[in-house]
Amino acid sequence: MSWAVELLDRENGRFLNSSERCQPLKLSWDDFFGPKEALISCPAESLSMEDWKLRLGQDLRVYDPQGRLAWWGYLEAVSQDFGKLAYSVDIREMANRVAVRYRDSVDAEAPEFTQTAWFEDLESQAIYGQKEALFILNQASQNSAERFAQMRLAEKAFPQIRFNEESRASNRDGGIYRLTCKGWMNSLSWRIWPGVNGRIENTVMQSGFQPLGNTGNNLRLAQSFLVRDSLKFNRISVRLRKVGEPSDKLRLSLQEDSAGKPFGLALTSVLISPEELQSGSYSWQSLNFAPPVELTGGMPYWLAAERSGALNANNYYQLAVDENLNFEEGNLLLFDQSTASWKARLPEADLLFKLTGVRNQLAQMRDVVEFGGQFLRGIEAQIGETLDLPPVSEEDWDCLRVFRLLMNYGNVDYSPLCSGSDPNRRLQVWQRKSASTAVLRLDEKTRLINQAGQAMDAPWQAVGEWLAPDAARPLYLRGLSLEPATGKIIFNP
Amino acid sequence: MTNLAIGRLDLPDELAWLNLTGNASLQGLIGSEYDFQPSEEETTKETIKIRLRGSLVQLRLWLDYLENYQRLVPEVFLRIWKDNQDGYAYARLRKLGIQTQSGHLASLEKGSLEIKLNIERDTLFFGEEFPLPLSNGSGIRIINGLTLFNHDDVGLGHDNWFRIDAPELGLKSPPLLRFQIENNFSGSTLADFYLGSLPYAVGEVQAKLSFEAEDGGFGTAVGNVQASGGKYAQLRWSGNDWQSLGCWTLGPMLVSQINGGTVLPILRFFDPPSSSTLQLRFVVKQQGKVVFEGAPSQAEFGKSFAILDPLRLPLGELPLRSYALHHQLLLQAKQSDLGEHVLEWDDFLLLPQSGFLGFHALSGLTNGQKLIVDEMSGKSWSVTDSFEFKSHNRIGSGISLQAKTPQIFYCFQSDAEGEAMIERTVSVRAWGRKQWRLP
Repeated sequence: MSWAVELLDRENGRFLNSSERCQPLKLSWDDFFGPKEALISCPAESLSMEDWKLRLGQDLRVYDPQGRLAWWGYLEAVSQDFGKLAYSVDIREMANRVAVRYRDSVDAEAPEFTQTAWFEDLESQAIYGQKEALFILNQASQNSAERFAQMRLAEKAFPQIRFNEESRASNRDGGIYRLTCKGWMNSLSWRIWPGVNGRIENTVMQSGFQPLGNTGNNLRLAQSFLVRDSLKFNRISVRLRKVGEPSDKLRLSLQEDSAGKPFGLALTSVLISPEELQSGSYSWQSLNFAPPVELTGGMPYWLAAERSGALNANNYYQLAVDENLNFEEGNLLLFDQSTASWKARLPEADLLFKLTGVRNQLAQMRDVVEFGGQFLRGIEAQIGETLDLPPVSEEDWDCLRVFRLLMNYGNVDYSPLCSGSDPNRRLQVWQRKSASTAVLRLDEKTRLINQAGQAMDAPWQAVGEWLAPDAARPLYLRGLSLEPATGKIIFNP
Repeated sequence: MTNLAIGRLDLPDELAWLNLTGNASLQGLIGSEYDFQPSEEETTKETIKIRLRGSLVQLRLWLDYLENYQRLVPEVFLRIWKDNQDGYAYARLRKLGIQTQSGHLASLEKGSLEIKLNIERDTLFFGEEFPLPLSNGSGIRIINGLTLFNHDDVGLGHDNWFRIDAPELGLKSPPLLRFQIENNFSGSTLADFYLGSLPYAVGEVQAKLSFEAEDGGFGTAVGNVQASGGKYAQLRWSGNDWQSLGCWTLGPMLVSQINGGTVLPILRFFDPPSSSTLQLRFVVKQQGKVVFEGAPSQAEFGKSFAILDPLRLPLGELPLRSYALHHQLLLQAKQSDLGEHVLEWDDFLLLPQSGFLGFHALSGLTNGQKLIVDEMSGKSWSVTDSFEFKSHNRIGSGISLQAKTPQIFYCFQSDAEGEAMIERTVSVRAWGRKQWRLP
């Protein structure tokens, strides 16, 4: 056996351990992570447990006897066994950026969950990169939640060498280091997804109404709002009624901001027919924008409303508003025909409305990798047409979980998606091959045989392929583990 | 009587050896009996009986020596004088057990001892190291350093290979090899480099495993003196499908010589690719049809060379009672960036892997520094001004020399910037130790 293991600085590729006696014990790959896990044995020479501690999170590569880079990822944990005693150090439990989400036990007006600021240990981050932990407390004050976060940070900011009495190692292995490694994709789990809210809304209890188009001083109406995340907005809801029997329609449009007022040109618009409305009571009306419009995160926009016909003092529209001003990220203006200018409503109010946005699946994947992929170098995808999906709004999921959710949607053609990190640490995403492409087979010795009739030297290259067993339906190989010393392979472990 | 000893090879003089026969031994030796057992296994178990008589001090010294060697196994060797070769034969000890007779303590006090050494040694004995003559276009049967360039074209001495004509060495078994690779290039440091070998039958044409880009029939050939063969190929394309870069024919003798082994394709760019998304693969065609698609390999961004997935040739595990049909090798590239893709590349080497070693640079070798590869100890290290240091991390299955066939060794060199300039050179020396089952 002449496999080789290298531990390199993940930033500049310099060697951090050059032992030629480290050997892989078990390697695994699958069609989500690419290289998934590795277990490596290293002789107890030159490096101490403290040295290994500083090498956690660094770049580990495994070469096969033909010099092929077979597995790559980062060092997650190291253990050393001495008979019944064992030491270990790992990066799994480490957190150098900590926050707490809590239900406020003091402020009854507070939203359901509040999150503290992130508390950080910059020294640890400089060594290991950012590794976040978000704790949940059901009842806490702001002070107690912050104290809890700071305590957890102090406790977890650096990996701790632990001492375990219950070791299962044989005496023969005494002193040997065992390295546990994870594929780079797994580093997405180091950061917590901040969540993207796909809705901008003011749906509180109605407190007031605003006639539209019955006199010249309410010729038009516009509600401003701030877009937090870039999204494609495809649906609008407003609460309104008709007065009399208007024969024209109500036009709702989205407009850019121009010095605190609507720009005047619609980015997209919809029309509400009076037949859809009741005259005796208010109802929520929801319509889809065609086409949806992409609004840029961090920018203010306006939802404008006006009649498609002329003013009519008896037949017009009336929109529900909130005079308690619960909506903090915008204001309501009315267009006065006599002065040809926008002015504030008196008393001030906000429109009741709901805007719903979607984001392309691949764009969301890019967002997740950009946010959570501190060690990754972007994403490359060949997955055909993808879906517009509500943005992932969960605020306590890690980025790996969010990425997996997005992968699980498949593409527009219902093809499952595969992924993995390549040796350049770029995430590759592709659509699963169809069973009809099966060219590999298993021989009687359970060796993988390629299309040229040769046993595959690198069986892990078959992950994501279909196998064509004799007289049986093709079998998809979603993962594989290999013990290099024995050549033992487990398919779809 | 056989001159028998155990001791160390890494110490320079006779003090490293404990003679188990003859007058040159420690005082107190009456005689010894070596139960030689020829074996077909990798290791052989034998016994050596030693009879001693002398003072307590003399006997104690014998026991101390033996116990010390016991601790040093496997760095301890059995040595036998070979009258017919006028030299020593050595075998590495894997185990050394010291067995005393019943009544040992009483016997010791009376000044008499019989000790049985239970040894397990490598079955093959080896001899003294001798220089191996190396040949290429720069010289024939050179033993004091043969120059290898980093490419193989028609220029005088422009060879990235050397040959060892093993049939001329009178070997019975594959010898133990030691190589010395000296960076004699006055420019940049020797960083990553790769060494691979291929044996071939006496009388066959030596395999040529370097291929010029411009001979592949795709793209535009551009003249440049810094390119192998004086030209490189430039190719422009768009889209993100696989694009063929060239096609070459591997003749029946060449693919048959590889004999079911693998070759590691190493592609040299004339200019490093500007894209980080470049993937490369080889496709094999036979009788005009694609019969095999190699696994794609990601080119490492910023490097002037790319290592592709090894190819096992000829395809299909043939019995090779006659020559294999020629193979057509199609090189393909794929980029997913938008717009036009431009690739300028020079040549590729199918590095044979009958024996293979790769060296990944820690510090690399500056001009005049040497790397030693010792297959006997399985170690590699570097030397500068007679100081040892570790310049490279070693990968690969190891290098060996077959006893009866000529063998060609190819080398590909690069520097710390990821450049693989064609004018780079190394100077190679090699030594061997003959091996025998029956000394």
